[in-house]
Amino acid sequence: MTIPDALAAALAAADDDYLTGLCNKGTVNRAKKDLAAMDAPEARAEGNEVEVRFSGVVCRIRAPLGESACSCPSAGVCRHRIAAILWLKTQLAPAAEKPPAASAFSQLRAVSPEKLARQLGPKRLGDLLARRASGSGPAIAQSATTVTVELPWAPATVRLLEPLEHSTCTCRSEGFCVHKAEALLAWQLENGAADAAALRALCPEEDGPDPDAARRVCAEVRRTLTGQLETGLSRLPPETCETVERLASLAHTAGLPALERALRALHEEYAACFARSAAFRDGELLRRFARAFHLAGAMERADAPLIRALAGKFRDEYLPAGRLELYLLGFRDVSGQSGYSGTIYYFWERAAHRFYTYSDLRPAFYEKSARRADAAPWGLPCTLRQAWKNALDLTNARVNAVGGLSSTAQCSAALLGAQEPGGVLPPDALCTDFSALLAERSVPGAPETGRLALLLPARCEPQEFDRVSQTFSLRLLDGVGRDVWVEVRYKKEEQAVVRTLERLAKRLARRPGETLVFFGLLYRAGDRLRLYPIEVFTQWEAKT
Amino acid sequence: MNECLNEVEQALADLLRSGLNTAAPAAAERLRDLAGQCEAAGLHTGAALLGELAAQLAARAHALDKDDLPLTETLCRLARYCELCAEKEQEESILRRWREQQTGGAV
Repeated sequence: MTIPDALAAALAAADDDYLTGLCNKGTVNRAKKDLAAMDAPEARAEGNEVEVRFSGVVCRIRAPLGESACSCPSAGVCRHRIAAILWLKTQLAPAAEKPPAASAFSQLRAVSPEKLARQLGPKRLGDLLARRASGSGPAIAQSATTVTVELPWAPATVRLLEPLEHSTCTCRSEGFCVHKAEALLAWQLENGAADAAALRALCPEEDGPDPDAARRVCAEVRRTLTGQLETGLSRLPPETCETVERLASLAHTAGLPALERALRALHEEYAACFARSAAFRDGELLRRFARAFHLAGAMERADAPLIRALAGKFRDEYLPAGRLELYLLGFRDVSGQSGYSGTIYYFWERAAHRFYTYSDLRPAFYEKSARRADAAPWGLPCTLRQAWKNALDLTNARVNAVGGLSSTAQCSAALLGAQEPGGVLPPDALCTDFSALLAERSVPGAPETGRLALLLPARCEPQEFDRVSQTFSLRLLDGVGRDVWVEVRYKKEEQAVVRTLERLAKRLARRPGETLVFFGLLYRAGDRLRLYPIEVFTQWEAKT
Repeated sequence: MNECLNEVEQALADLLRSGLNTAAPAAAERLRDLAGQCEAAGLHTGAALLGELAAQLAARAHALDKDDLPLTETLCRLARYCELCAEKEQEESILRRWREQQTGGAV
């Protein structure tokens, strides 16, 4: 029997990986067993194919091998076809049986990345690019004939073959499923056949607000605020609060979250004024009034792309960040004026040397007195509070733009045990020169992760408790005398913090030269750089 | 500079409290004085905005059909300007304090 040339070439090129790609490893192994046990099949060449008869089945093997047929009822590539292919490979002339040369995968390269990006859609494409950027993209293994791509987040394993239509996916889709498209695009990106920047540019932006509706709302906001300025705060009725609240609702409906927030902030200040709250300040009302008016004016004059940029986002988007090696440095309880209360946990990332936070906050309005259980996200065997000073590895983590960790169920954590912070954090994570803190870590309005710092002062000077302002102060000085002030005003929620600091002050009086490391949030007030303390480490042994 | 900024902010807050309809003619005069102080303190943009606001406020008193949108616009720009200047001034004052401490000045 003479095997047709095209088929002979396909048989010579088909190694075990390729056959596994056509079906799966189990089917290939079973076919090998069948082949070893069976008698020699009958075979005859017919045109471009070879008919192979054995064990009561008839297989028609042709190139490409994925288009071969079998008389059995199996829809996919069955063990009979694989056995027939393996047998035909043994019948090849020695010259044709040379090991297959490494494939250039020209067909995989030829598929347009734009077409694949369109099939994935902006969300999946954005996720793929973010995963790749964070170093947690798919695992890609390439043999001479097959590209195997594992997508653990799907979860799916795709085997890309040539021709592409014979590629398989563990989702068992017959067609070219999104997993195949994602796997192929990931491979193209890995091999320089697609450009990440070009693909990012291709991502159509989310539908922004309707520009005309947005301008109408902005004009209404400006008109109303102008009316309030004409009348004056002293003559405005308390119903002004509801008017501003109504404007905020209009901004929400028009898809303008930034303006909505500005108006809600203004509403808060108006409410404080009409409630005759001692916390009300004229200056703060003016600032909030100006911010809302300014933003509305900017959007009213802007074109559609600028409106979309100014409109802001309703909620943070959490993008894949892959594997994170975290260390829980500290946490603090918050009961904010924003109406949310709970705990914020602060992590140090051991690989990238940066801070992350995890916020376990709930609206306080609904759960005023209820004692809430501590958070234990990511399948942790304990609560996060119990994991303080523990290292943990997160897999499939998702992070927002300001370093906030998502509690997504897709993310899992492995607890690595307790470690001393000095053994985990590198010495350069500690700030001993406070001059760098001012410009880099205390910018007003910066997110929390941008204002976190670990301070190793040269000396600490506890101050007298200020009985008038009920404030505890501790002055931290660096080597050349620049100071940062730890200041906590006494109130019910801060009772524990003040007591801890008072104990610390007594300890400092006994042992003035003791090395202390302060971890907290920096902010500016008056002519001082200040630190809100989250954690104080009294024993810090530097990493060697 | 800080005092000047505080005074401008207070003048704007007073205007917001009293309202444009009842703002005394003295309000425009006060803004003009502050414009002079700002100019002297090196806050040229602030001085220009204050001058503009004072002119709009004075013109308003003689206008039959009052369009207060441009006036509100100027007031809000000025308030935003003061906020940004105050942030910058705060940073400068911390640095100044640190310098004084390093050269042995008072804390």
